[in-house]
Amino acid sequence: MAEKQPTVFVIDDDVSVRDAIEGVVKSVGLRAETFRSAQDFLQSSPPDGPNCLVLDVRLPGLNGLDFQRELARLNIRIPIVFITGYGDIPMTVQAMKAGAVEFLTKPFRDQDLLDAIQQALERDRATRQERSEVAVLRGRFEMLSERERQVMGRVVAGKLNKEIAAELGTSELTVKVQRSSVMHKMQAESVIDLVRMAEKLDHRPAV
Amino acid sequence: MRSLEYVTLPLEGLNGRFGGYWFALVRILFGGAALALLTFVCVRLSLNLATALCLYLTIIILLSLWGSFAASTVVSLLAVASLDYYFSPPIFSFEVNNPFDGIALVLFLTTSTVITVLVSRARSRTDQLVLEANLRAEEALRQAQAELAHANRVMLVGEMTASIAHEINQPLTGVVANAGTALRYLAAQTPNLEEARAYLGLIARDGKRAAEVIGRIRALVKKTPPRRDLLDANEAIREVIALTQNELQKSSVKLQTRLSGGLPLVPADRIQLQQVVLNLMVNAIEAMHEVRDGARELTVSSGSASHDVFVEVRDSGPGVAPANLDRLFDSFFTTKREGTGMGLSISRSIIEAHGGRLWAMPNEPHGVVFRFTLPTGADEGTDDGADHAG
Repeated sequence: MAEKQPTVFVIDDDVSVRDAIEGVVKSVGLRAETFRSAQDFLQSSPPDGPNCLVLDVRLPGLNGLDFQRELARLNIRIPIVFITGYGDIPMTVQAMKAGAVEFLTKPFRDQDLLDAIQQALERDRATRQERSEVAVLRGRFEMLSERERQVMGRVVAGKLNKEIAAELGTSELTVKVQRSSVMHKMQAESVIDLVRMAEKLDHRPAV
Repeated sequence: MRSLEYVTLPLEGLNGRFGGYWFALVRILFGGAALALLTFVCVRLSLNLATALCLYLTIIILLSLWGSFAASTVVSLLAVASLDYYFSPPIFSFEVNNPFDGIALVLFLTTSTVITVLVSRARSRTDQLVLEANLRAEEALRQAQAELAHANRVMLVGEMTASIAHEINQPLTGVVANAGTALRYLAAQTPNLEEARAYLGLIARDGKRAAEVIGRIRALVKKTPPRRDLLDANEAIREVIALTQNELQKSSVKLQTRLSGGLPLVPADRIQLQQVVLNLMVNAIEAMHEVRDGARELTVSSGSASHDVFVEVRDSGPGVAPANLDRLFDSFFTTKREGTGMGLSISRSIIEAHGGRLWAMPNEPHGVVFRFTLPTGADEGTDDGADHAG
């Protein structure tokens, strides 16, 4: 699958910093989009493809951590690399705990920034991969009949065909047939496979 | 801070040439009257020449001390004439029979002249010393004020350190990152000179920006004598606001600026003006440390009214009782644990030296508004504390 071009979003109110980061990003062939404020960023529509965000932790009037929470609330799951012009140690810890990829202090080495960006993009790729997998599984799950879903639920719970048949009030043979259909439709190669798929579906409600 | 009280001489406070004539005339009249009275008394008592002479000399001395060279001279001459007429035989005549009497009269005149001259010299010498002492005191005061203002600026810069570091750090970040980028382009399979050049250009731009910040800080801590340039108050204010970003962030203070466009230029010293604004802003931020619930808002506004340009710094802190608003400007008045209490007092001196006024008013619903005015060139301000209306 051809990858869409990754984009690095940059939010910093200082022009020197914005221009410099844009330069660093472009010099390794990535696309950069810069913004002066969080509002500007939220008003834009991010292109598809692995993305990440380089964010100054102290923008005028906005606390970077609050923005991190805001993004989570808006369900915008973009990996964040924080940068700061102050020695914000307590903020560093908080930010990392809240899931930031990295926290760099200005002036940072361009290589350090690139490493962090690569890490963030990787994380975004993994998330997108995960998401698309779940979408596929959900698609398959949708194809199951109600009865088949009931069977699947009990199979992954470790119940024997006999038990399932008893619970659902059908014959063991019917259960076997339905089970086979489930495996086929879900494209699971083994019960373990099916269990994993079920976990993914359970922990990822409709994406 | 006001000028020293001059050491005042026992003068009648009359100035000018007309005053001088009046001064001498009064003394001549007095001296003449005293002389006439003394003459009458001596004649009645039938005193001889020697006694009369001594008494007259006393009058001359007193008159000299009272401060008029002219009066002493005139009265001396009158005294000699009087001595000759009334006391040297033949009396009631200007003739002199005894040559020793004649000598006595001449000596009298000489003595009184010498005394008059000596006393006069002593007086002018004293006058001069007092004047010099006053000038030295004024100079010392000016020096002290300048030192204090400088100390205040240095203290302000100290408080701004984190902000200053941040202001320099931004362009520095650009420089470091851009250098890496340029190097990367040059290290490519085929070095990309165009891109490298572009990023070197950015490095130059950022370096210049950092240098400007340094320059501004240096200007603040330099001990320069005040200048009078025509400046745009808004520009000066904006530069200073940049330096307070860190303090504002740290204290979670929201800054609003309402700087009117098209302000007339004012003759002012840029550094001192910035010093005043910095003092007011730092004060406001600290005042709002107490505010727990509710917004911490700092508003800086500017505008023009009649012949002045005004600047206001408004905070939403706990405020100050109206009775105490003017006390804020007293030297050494501070509620801060480590405050020097000098910031507002120095600020007021600076504004008044520019011919303006600085005062405080309550802010609604709470807090304080500090407002100062600066006269524009149209209305020449004086240099030492003259108050302007409004």
